[in-house]
Amino acid sequence: MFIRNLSSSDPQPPGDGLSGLEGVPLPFVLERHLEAAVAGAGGSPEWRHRKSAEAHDILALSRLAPNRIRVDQLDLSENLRVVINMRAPVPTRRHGSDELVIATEVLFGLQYRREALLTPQPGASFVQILAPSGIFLPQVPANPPSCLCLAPVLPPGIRCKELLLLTYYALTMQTFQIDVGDPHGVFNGEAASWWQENAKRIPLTREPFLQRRSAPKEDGS
Amino acid sequence: MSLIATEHPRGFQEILSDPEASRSQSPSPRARMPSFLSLPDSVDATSILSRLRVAFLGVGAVGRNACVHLARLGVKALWICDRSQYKAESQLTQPIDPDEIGLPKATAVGSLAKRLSPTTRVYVYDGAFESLGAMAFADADIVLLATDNIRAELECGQHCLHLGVPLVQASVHGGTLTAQIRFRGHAASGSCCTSCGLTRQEKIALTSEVRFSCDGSTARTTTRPTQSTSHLCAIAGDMAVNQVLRYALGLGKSVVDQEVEWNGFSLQTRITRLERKPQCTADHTVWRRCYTEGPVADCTLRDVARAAGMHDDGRLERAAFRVGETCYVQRGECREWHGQAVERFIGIGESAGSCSRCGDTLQPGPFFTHHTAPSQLIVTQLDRPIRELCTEPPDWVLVSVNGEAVLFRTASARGPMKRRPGRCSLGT
Repeated sequence: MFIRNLSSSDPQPPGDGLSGLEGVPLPFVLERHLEAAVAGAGGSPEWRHRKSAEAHDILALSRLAPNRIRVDQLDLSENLRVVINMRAPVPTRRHGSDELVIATEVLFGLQYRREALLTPQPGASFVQILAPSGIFLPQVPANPPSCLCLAPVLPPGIRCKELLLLTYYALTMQTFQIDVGDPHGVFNGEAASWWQENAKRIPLTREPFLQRRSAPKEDGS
Repeated sequence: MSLIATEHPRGFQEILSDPEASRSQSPSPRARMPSFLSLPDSVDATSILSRLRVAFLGVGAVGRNACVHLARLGVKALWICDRSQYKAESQLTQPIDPDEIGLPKATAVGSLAKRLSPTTRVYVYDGAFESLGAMAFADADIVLLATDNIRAELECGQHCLHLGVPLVQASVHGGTLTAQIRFRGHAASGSCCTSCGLTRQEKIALTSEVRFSCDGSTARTTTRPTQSTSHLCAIAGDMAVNQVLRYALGLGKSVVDQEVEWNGFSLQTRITRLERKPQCTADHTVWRRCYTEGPVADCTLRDVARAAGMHDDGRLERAAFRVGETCYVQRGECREWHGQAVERFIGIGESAGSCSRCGDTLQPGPFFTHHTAPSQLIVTQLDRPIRELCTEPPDWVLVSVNGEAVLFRTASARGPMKRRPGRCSLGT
C-alpha cells in the first residue's frame, strides 16, 4: 500500500503535544488508507486495536509534519510494519571513501512486534534503514543490515510515535553515543571515532521534529 | 553416587540413575501416602501422582524445596530449568550442603530428585529459559515458577498460557514475612496471566534489569537475590506443593485462578480470586493442540490451515503461520549491499543463504524478518511441504486467525500422557 499525504492544510500540533495525537483528525485519503490497513489487520482483538491506534498516531504525525515524514507503506496484517520517508540531514559515507555526504532524506522500515508490548526489546530491533546505504553513524553498523540502535534497551509498551522521534533525533545526531569505551557500545567504531574528532559538527540540525508556528499577534504581525 | 546425563531434545539433559544405586531398593511413595479427605477410596493417589509431569523454572530457595517434595511423591517426570549456580550466600536461604557451592542449581536439584525417586524421569537445563523455545514445557501437566527473573517469568507465563498449561507461581516477601502462591489455570483466553499480576514496580524493574547483546539475540538479566529467610522460602515451596497436590488429586475446592497468601505476623492466610486485567498487554490466546500422524514437516501449510478449520470462507487470507523456532526471512543483504529475496523459515544461528551475485553470506534484515508469517507473504509456498521451506524440519507449526490458534505437533513428540487444554486429566 502506498500512501501519500494529500492534505493541503497544515494543522498545528495538538496543545497537549504528542499525547494528543489520537484526537488529530486525518484527512480523507489517510483515513481511507488507515481503514484499509485495519481491515487487513490480524491478531487478537486487543492487538488489532493497539495496531490501529499506533497506525493512527503515525499518520497523524505525518499530517502534522508533512515536510518531515511521509508514510509510504502501512501493513497491520501481523506485526505493525510501516515504511517511512523522513526528511532529515543524515550523514553517509560511500564504501572506500573518506568524504562525508549529508543526505537530505532517509527511507526506513519500522516493525513493531507484539512482544514489544510485554517485554523490553533491544534498541536495534525496531528500525532498519532501507536507503540510502552507507549511513555513517555510530548507532548504525557499517555492514548490512542497517539497523538503527535507538537505545540499549527500550521499555515494554513503547509507542510508535516515540520510536519515530527517537529515530529522528538519532539520525540527526541530536542524540548520539560516540564513546567506543561505553559499556553500551556502538555499532560502528570507525564512525564513533570520526565523530569524536568532528564533534563540532554535531548535531546535524537543531530543528525539532514538530515545528510549532508562533501564534499571530493581535496587531497582525 | 555418580549420575549420568544424556542429551535430550530442546536443550534439556536427562539425569540417569547410577546402575549401582538403582539396584538398591527405593521405597514406593504408597508406603506413606495418606487417605486424603474427600478423595474416594476408588481413587489411587499414588497412581495419579506417578503420572504427573511437572516443570520447574527456578529451583533456588523456594523451588528447590518444592521440587524435592514432588520427587518424594514419585511424580512421573520433572523438567528443571535454572541458569544460576549456588553461591556461598545460597546456604543462608536454602537447604544445601556446602559442597554444592559452585554447582549449577538445575543439575544439583535434578540429581537429588533422581536419587530420591529413581523412577522419576528428570530433565535439567542449566541455562536461561528464554533460550529453550516455546515448547520447552509443552509436555508438562503443570509448571512451577519460582524465579526472581521477571523477564523469564513473563516469557514462561506467556508460553504456559498459550499451551493451556497451569502455572503455579511461588514467591516471598521477606520484610513482611509473606509467602504467596498464585495458581493460574490458563484454561481459556479469559484466564489471568503472569503479566496481569505484574505491579508497576515490577514493570520498571523489568526494563532496568535487562541488557541485550549488540545484535539483540541474547539478553543478560541482573536480578536482586532473594531477601528472605530460609524458613519463609521453605513455607512458600511447601504451600506450592500443597496447591499442586490439591489440583492433581482434585482435593477440596478448586485452587485454579486463586492466590493464597500467608503472613508470618498475623499467622493468617488470605485467599484472593485472580482475574484477567482488561488492560493486560499479553497475548491471552490459548492454542488448541493437535497432533499429526506423520512428521508435521511433511505437511504443507495449506494442509495445516485446512485441518485447523482456517482455510475456507476467506480465513486463509487472514491466517498467519509460525514454523517451530524459526523466523520467516523475506529478504537479506550481503556485505556488498546486494539485496536479495530469501523467502525461507530460518532458525537461530542458521544461514540465510548466499548472495547470487558475490557469494557472500546474506544477513536477514530485521524489517524483513517475521516471527509469524502472514499467509499473504507466503502465498507461493502454501502448497510445498514444510520441510522444504526450512533448513531443519520443525516439530511444530502454529496457524492463527484473529485471536484463534491451533498448534500442530508431530505425534512422536507427544508424551505418553496428555491432558486436554484447560482441564486436568489426572483425576478419575
